[in-house]
Amino acid sequence: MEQAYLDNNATTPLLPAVREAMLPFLGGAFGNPSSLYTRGRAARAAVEDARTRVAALLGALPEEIVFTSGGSEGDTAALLGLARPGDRVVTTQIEHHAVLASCERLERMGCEVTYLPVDGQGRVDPDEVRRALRQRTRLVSVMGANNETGVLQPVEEIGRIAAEAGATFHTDAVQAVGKVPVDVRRIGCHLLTLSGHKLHGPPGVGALYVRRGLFVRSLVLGGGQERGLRAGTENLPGIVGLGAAASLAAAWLAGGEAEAMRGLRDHLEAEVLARIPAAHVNGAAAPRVPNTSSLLFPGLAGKALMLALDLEGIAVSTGSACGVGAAEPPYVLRAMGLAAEHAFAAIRCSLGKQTTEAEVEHLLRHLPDAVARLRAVSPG
Amino acid sequence: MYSPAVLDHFRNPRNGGVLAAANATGRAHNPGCGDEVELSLRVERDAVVEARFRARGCPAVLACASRLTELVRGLPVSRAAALQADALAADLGGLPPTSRHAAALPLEALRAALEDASAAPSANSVPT
Repeated sequence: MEQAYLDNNATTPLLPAVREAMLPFLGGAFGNPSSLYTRGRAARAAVEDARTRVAALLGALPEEIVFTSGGSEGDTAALLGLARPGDRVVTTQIEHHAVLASCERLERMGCEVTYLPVDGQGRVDPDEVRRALRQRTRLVSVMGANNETGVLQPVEEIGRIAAEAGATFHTDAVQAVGKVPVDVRRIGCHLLTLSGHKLHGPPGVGALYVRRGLFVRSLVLGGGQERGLRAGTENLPGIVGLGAAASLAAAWLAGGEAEAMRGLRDHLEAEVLARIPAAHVNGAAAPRVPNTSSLLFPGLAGKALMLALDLEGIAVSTGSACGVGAAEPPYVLRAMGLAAEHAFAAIRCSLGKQTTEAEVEHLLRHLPDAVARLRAVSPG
Repeated sequence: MYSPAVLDHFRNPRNGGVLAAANATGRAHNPGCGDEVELSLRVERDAVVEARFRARGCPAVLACASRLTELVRGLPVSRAAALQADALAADLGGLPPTSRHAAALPLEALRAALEDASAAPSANSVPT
């Protein structure tokens, strides 16, 4: 059956060149980077080469890159590693669960957390950040791009506001890195999270940018790896893969290929709006990453549409995964002001570097009929 | 993940829509996940003679509502009211653990419809 993988915000396939770079380290080139003999020194060199590659993608110094197990660890390490009981923390209502759950932990520890709203397009108003920072604030955490809508937050402006207020600024850039240029100096952030498997690297590895001179408590205690910021023997094949993926992402961005991806995404949206009555693109008027499309089809449940498409070999996602008698509230779309029945009626299509026009056409062939069939039995 | 019967009802729903000749309707809604089921019935001489459904929700809810319209057809009201979620799920070859609740919502709509029928005189007598 013809397939279309359109859920690259969930995870991306390894690029062949990334796999090639990793393979030696899954085989004969194994070694503990802390070992002082030849095999260990070669492993150390590979880790430091990857660190340089990740730093180059972000405009950071290599010593500012801490390898982690992925986005959730990076977010948790940034927030719990920095804030202390009694601190004020400012974040948004649309952050990833890793940030929101960390903030809940901080509240239980005695921090005061402010969750800023977003407008109808899913954007945080920098003036809201400015107002929130009138009170002395330890940490500001605002994501770079939202995972559901792809909407970009004004992080450079927020970085300036945080700096003026003397607050430390963390940005979860998991969904932005590799899709748009991300430069830590331009953003002015102190901490930035990225994840390997969201940019065609392997899962189980990520990085936290920690600005030079900033002290962050390590969540993982042990042998003092990663300058004492993250103990544990390094995930050598994963880190090498992340380094390779970072270099490929930098080349991809420099080569202007993001515009081709944006063109394909915009084509998808234009055809959906033309072919399907009452369809809507969430966050369409805001600046967005070039790969993400949050599509709303009033009158149906996104989770049913997801299965209907899955049966045609098409992988998309929905913000509301049905659990035991309840679903996860589609909180990002709700924060944008969508009524509950509309928030439940959305699916997310997210393209990757390997997504073809044929895959998008496969979706466009089946989507109008799937929507019509579900609407035909809908109570409205 | 889903049984062949669930997928079949999801792909080819039976008795979808609103029954023009209905004399009883019932709705059930789960605000937590947004799922909604509406049943319209024709009840004559204390038996369900025809049923149609409309539903918006997870695939298992749609499949259960579709199958339920087949199961209740011809059933005495008392037997229709006694249908259990486990039996409906089993009839469809079982539901995935995360979808067990899906059979309950159509049955809630059915019970509401049967209560509606009991209040309607035309449902208890021979049609004229």
